[in-house]
Amino acid sequence: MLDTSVTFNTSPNMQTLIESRDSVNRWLERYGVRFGVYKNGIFNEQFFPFDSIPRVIPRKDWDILEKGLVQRVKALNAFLWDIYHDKSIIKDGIVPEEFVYSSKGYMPECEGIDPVGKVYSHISGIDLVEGKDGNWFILEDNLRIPSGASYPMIAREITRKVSPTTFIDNSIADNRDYPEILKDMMDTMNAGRGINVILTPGRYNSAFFEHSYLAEKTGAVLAFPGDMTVEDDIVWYTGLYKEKVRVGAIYRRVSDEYLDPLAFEASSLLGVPNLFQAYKKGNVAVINGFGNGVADDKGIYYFVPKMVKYYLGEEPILHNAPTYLPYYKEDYDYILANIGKLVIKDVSEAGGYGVVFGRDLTPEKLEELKSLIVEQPRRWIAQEVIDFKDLEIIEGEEKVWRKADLRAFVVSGGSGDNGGVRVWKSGLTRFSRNPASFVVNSSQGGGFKDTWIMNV
Amino acid sequence: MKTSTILSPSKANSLYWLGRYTERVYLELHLLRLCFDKMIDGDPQEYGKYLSAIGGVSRYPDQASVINGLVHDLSNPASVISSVERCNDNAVLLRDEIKSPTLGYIQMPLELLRQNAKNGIEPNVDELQTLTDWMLAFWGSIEERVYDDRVRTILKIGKLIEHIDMNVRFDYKFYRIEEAFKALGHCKAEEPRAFNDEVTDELREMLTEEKYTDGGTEYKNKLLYLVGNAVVL
Amino acid sequence: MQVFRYRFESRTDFSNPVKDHSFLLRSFPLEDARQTLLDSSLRIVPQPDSLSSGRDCWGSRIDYGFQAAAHDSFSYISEGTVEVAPYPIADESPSALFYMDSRMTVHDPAMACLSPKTDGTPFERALEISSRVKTEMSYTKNVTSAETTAAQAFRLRKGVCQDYAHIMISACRASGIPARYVCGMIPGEGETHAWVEVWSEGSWYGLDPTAGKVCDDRYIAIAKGRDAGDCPVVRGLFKGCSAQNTTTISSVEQSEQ
Repeated sequence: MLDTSVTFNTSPNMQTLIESRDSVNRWLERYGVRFGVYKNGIFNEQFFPFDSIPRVIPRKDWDILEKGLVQRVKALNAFLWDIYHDKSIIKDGIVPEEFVYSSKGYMPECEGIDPVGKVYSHISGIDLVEGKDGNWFILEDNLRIPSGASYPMIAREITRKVSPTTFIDNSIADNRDYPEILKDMMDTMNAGRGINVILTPGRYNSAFFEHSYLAEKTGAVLAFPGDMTVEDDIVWYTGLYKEKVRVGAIYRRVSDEYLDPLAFEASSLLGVPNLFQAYKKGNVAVINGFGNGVADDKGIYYFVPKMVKYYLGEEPILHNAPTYLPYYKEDYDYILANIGKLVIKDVSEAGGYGVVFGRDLTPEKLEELKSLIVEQPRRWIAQEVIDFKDLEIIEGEEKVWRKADLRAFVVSGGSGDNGGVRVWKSGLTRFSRNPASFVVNSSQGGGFKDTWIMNV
Repeated sequence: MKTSTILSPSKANSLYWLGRYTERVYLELHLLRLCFDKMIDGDPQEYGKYLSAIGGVSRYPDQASVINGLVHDLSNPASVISSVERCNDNAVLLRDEIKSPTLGYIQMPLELLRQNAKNGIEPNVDELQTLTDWMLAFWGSIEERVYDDRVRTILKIGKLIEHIDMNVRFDYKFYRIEEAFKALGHCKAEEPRAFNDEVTDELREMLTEEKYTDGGTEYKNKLLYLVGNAVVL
Repeated sequence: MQVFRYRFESRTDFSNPVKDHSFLLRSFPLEDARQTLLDSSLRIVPQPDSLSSGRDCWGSRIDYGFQAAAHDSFSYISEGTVEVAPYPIADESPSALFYMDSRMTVHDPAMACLSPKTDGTPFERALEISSRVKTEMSYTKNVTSAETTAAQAFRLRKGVCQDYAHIMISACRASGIPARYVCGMIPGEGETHAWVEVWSEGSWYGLDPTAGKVCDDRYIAIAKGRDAGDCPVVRGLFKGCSAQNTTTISSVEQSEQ
């Protein structure tokens, strides 16, 4: 792979962009690009720090990524359909039954339901890292409510203003089509010619900026809990004077268990009562669909390359990080013998907190972890540590190298070719500010970069 | 697909209060400049009058802390920063209606005030004027970017209600209240169901030059009460 | 085989009127291999603006709807005639879900004392668990709630039929016996009852750990699932600030026919 960073970042038109970092951050402030964080029970809004050196992905590499992402997401949607219908992948012995049924994301309520267009994961956020050797690896699939697309969207809008010459002199794929891609998908999925809405839990949700920005850009109505009711299995948005308009597609940013208090978590005030019944009847598209958690479970991740072969009859283009499941005897032995060099992930947790590097543990802690694995093998997966390719960021006045990942956004259910699957020619590159950290989760204080697909 | 022009009750409520708070910020800035000007001439009680008119409580030991408090004290509900925070509380819920560039004219004052308050910077005329400019730009941006008549009307209703309220509190001349009330009548023609008819009728009856000029505290309180209850959003 | 007239009545009073009230009921006897519904009706007062019906993923009948106007009470009466056959219910392969802990039945090491000590068919072992549960527990009202888990109730050694059923389910699953929760009615009880179905050698059998006996054809099932969380008889959500008080009465009588 072409290592463009050194020469590229010192070219004059790049310098203007790099030097404009403060200006970009001021524009981000102006547009209220914040995310909410709870610290000790107090809600605070923070800016998501932007680093002006973009991650550059050459076109020829991107073409491969794009094909691989389309393939992976098609397989994941096929898996979701299969799990909630025929279960042939279980019957054929590819995925053990208990991995499916013991997953927290599996919802028996979804059995036999046909979502509009058979699409479950309309917006898939696939996290990748680039190894030092230039190979990309999938870190995880996010098929429930992946967030983050709004940041590179608005950053691009701003950097184009702030440093136009950079964009004149470089051939960078435009990424401002994300709202169109979303809108096209929502329109295609829309049931009963209703309106499109984006359902937000409210302004104290960490991603509220994104919800409101995507509503503005796609022309969907930003809906809050309580704005919608269900009557006769149809979802209605209620206006100021009790007038009602039918809702055809809900891009919901509320998780499954809170989305319908009468079908699921009864204490939820964030949902739409009886929405699940309307969904079951096919009278509304719920984006993303119910029950997707079974496919982005850390334990199921191991099986995704097998799904590609099983459902599509193709060789997987993109690879997982080498992963071991203690469930299998061979892997179990390997993990216990090599635990010191592996990264161990707790399948039952999310958000980057349940990730442990064997090399960081004392011998006592290692033994403790081993006994936990022996006790509950299904709860853990182990992976080889990937030697990430670091990215340059500006820290104060100097350039330093930091770990980074890439969240690619794949939209399924649109009107176009390829079964309506499109990969957004950009993505969210998150970096860790802590030089020692491999965890780049934004809830742990990282920043972000724009991602350029370039004809270099 | 259909583009909805439907407006939810909660958004209508946010629009109304956004209209009120932006107008409050604008008038507070105007009145503060007047008040500071009078204090130069050695009338230290002027801010007390200001505070009692605006419904705040006098709590500052000296003149410097008064000025700072009326602009930067978040614990004082009558301060400019508090009013801008309330603008923001409503505006962030309305990004899809008013658009991001318009929201910017609330975000910029908010960020400036938060930074200045944090860094203990004394309010000065540049800061106040910049804030005023942004509030005017906010209304300009609404004119330029918002095409939904209902959204504009409800914002304007909030603005006019606040305008009348503040003018009554600060004993402005009758013609200014009459003008605003007349403008409110135009809004009522467009959005009749946003108003409480009984209350607006009563208001109309009370708002004569004679009654206003002769009116005492009781009259004024009644007036303020009716103004606050004329809209049912 | 027995035929019963059943009647289930629920009334909720609100201290202040509520509006925009959405609700979901499970109030009909299940229609399955063991139960046949001969006639049935559901009346809701006040008459809702919309009322739909369907089945949940476990096969239970659900009726759900919406009432916009303000109202200060909500009541419904479900009544009809049902023909009930004795257990068992044939089922070649039970869902893997009934082998696994569910949210309210997560196994706790303290329950190890409930494990069956003898060998036998799953049914026989489940019967032993059922009698151990009855021995360990003392039936006490108002110490547990609808949200109490098996482990919590077992720590108290007190509870009602829902808790008995949860504890038994948890112990069965820990011993490798598939088990599921049943909510229903029996003659002579004024309210809903809960029991357990266990899977043994190709069929489901009913066991009632609260009464300490095997269920017969007087047990009328309304809803089934992994645990009580899958079987609420009524749920609602409304706008308004109100205290609520719900009373339910059920009656089951052997039919003349």
